[in-house]
Amino acid sequence: MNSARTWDIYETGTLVVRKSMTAEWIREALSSGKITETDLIRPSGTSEAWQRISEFPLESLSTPVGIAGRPESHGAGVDQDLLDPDAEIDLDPDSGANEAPVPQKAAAKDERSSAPREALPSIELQALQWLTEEDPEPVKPVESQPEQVVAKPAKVRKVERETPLLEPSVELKLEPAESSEPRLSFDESEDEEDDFTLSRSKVEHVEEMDLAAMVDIAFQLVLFFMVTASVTMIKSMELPKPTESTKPAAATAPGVGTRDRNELADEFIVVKITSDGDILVDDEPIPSDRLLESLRAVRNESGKTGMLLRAENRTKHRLAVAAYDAASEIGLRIAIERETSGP
Amino acid sequence: MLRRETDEEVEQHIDMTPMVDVVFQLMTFLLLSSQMTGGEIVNVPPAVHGVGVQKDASALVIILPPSEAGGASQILMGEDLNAPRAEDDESIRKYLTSAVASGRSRVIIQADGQVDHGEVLRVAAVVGEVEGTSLHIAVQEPPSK
Repeated sequence: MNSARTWDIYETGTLVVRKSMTAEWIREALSSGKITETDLIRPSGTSEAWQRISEFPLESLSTPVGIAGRPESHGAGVDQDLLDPDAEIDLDPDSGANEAPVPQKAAAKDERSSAPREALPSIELQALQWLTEEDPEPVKPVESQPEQVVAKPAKVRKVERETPLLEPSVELKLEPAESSEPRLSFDESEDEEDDFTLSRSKVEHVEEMDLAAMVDIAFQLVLFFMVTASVTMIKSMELPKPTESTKPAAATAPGVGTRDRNELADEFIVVKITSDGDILVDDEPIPSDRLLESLRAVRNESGKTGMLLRAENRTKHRLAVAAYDAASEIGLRIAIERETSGP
Repeated sequence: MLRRETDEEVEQHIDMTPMVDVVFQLMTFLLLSSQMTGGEIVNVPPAVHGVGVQKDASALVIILPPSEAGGASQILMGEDLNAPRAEDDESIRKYLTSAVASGRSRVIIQADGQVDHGEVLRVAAVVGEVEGTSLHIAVQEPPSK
C-alpha cells in the first residue's frame, strides 16, 4: 500500500513526468497553476491507465487507500437528486450515498469504513458538475484577469477546511492585496456552495498561442530584406553627360559645353594622363600616388574650381577613375575632354 | 518490477523546431551573402567617393577588356555576362531608349579597370545622346589599408 500513497503526474504541456508526488504537492500545484487539470495522473508504481486530473477523484488524494478500485466506482452511486443544490449529501456509512444528509468534516470522513469511501468520488463529481453549471455567480468572459484569480482563493480555502494538510500560507499568497471586489468577501453561503471542489472554472483554460515560430519567421524576413536590399545597390560616381559636338578637342562639363582649350584652362586644372600612365597636372609631371596632393596644392594656389581630364584614348579606365575620385575628394567640378582623333 | 517500468517511461523529448529554424536562417544568409560577394563579374576600379544606386532602377552597360591583345572591348547591355552584346552604337542607343521608357533613367557603365578610357567615353557619348538619362560610372570600395 505504500506505493499508492503517491501519484505520478504527466504534464501534457511540457511532456514531463513527475513521479511520486504527494497529495499536498498536487493540490498546491493545481492551485498555483504549476499543473493543470488536463494533465494526467495515476498512482505511483502501477501501470494503470493515465487519467486526467479533472476526471480523477481528487478527494481521494488525501485518502490513498484503495485508489486502484476508484475508477470502476465512478458514477456508480450517482443520483439525480444530488444535482439539486438543496439536496443534502449523506456520508453516513449506514445510509449509503443515495440519500443526502448534511456534509461532514473531512476529519470525520477519514475514520469511516471503506464502504462510504468508495461512494465518495461520485458524490464529489456530481457536486463539481453542479458547481460549474449552476454557480449563481459564474465567471463572466468579460471579467478581467484579476477577478478570475480572485476566485481561486475561495476554493483553496474550502479545501483547507476539509483537509488540514494544506498550509494557510498558500491562501495568503494567492489573495490580491488591494482588491475590493465583493467576491473577495468569502461570505459563508458562497463557501458552502463551493465545497468539495479543487477544480477551476472552465474559463481559465486559456490556450496560449506559441509566438516563437512567428518571431522566427519575422526575423527571417528582416534578414532577407536587409541582405537583398544591400545587394541591389551599386556604388557609382555620377559624371556629367557629354554634350553632342562634332568639333575636335571638345570638352564637357555641366554648363560648360564646347569651349576653347585656352578658355577652359583658366577655369579648370588640366590633368593629363598618357597611355603609359604618366600624370601631368597643369603640365607638371607628378608621381601617380601624389595626384590628390598636387590637385589640392594647385587649387589653393590658383583658385580654380574644376578639373579637366585630358586623357588619351588608350589610357586605362582605372587611372581616369582615380582622377575623378581625387577631384571629388577636394570638391572640384569634373570636366572630361574627348579626343576625337586617334592617339 | 513495477518500479522499473515507471522508470522507463521518463522520456526526454528534444524540441527540434528552433534548431531547424536557425539552420534555415543560416542557410538563407549564406546563400545570399555568397551571391553578394561572388556576383562581381566586372573588376571595376576602386574609388572612395561614390553613391549607391539602385540596380533595379538603372540600366547597366558592361564594358569588358578585349579577350585577346589588340582586340576590341566587349560591350554588354544588361547586368550579367549573358546579356546581349552591343555590336555598334546604334544597338546601345536602342537599349538605353527602351530602358528610359521603362523608367530606368540612370545608366551605370560598369567598365573594367583595364578598359581603354576612350572606349568608356565612346559609350558615355551614346548615353549623352539619349534624352532623360544620367551617367554613372560603377566603382568599388577601395581595399582597406
